[in-house]
Amino acid sequence: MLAGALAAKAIVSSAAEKETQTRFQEAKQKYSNEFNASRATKRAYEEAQTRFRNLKTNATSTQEQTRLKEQVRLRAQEFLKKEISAMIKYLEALKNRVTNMNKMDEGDRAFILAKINENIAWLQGKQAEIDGASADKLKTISQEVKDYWKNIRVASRKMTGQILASRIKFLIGKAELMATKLEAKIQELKQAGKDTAKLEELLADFKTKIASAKSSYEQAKAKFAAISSKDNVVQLFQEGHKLIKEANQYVKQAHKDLIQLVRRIKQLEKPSDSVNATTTP
Amino acid sequence: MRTKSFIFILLVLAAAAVVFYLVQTGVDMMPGTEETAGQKSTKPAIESASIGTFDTELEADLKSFDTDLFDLNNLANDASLNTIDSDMANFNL
Repeated sequence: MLAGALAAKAIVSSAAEKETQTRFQEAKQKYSNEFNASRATKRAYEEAQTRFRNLKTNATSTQEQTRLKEQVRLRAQEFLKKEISAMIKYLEALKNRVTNMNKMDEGDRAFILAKINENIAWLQGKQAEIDGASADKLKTISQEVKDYWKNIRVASRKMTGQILASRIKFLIGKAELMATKLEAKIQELKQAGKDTAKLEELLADFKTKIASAKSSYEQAKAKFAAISSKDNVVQLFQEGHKLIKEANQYVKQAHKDLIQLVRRIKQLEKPSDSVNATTTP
Repeated sequence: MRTKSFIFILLVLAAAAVVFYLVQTGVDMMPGTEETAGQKSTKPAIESASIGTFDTELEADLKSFDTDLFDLNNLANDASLNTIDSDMANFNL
């Protein structure tokens, strides 16, 4: 009955993951659409700029110059708004992934989401200042957004690293819990007179692999925590990412031990005890 | 009479809810506390059905992690972000 409940849980979990994927792809598509829309506004802005520059050199009337200068301001306004929209959509895609991620520490999730929301709110505030802004005001806003975006780029890499670290931490924690239960099960089989030598050997190896994964995770966590500026973000993110992949590999190796452990435990538990535990692969 | 029937239905529903909860949470069948060290338990200390799914459970978690790793890495390295960087750096009204 319990196995049935667990199987049902696995099906629900798989469906939830598919749903998460769909939602993330949608959010990513929204970012992509907004980014593409910003290309059109950029072209319109550049064209207006070119028209204005050409007119100046041709000594056109002041009235015409004023009209075209205003066109440049309006196109710049539209471009800046779209560019900020694309930035917001990017952060929303990241937020979507973190919100719907199933297996991560809730404290880590809340911390990361608060950071993303803070960035989105700041950008939305700047976007609201754009309508009706003078050319000078637009220059100020663009400078502020440029500086803030640089920080977001650093922060988003740091957050991505922290999300990955939190995810692998969850996986390692689960494997550790499994090791504790397996240990108790092996003891129980031993007390029942079963030969558990191979099981103990596999469990020891499983635990070593998980310990190695934990060590890689701790190092990765430190790398991501040390990200502080655009000068160190690329290197530290790459190093942290490599360590996360390393930790993942250790858990995968531990999983191979786990497959054998489960198979052997099932064999030893067969009521007839028809299987010779010492000769099974 | 009506009240008695109502209470009876409530009790049945409460009992069903407890059974449902125990099945959903996969409660471990631990040996009774009254057992002494020398006694052999008649029930398994660790639920075998739960251990029997450990490998598939971890496998599913690993697959899910791989997807997250792929998605997040792609998002962090999206080439369009460099374009936004350069747009903002070159914005000159």
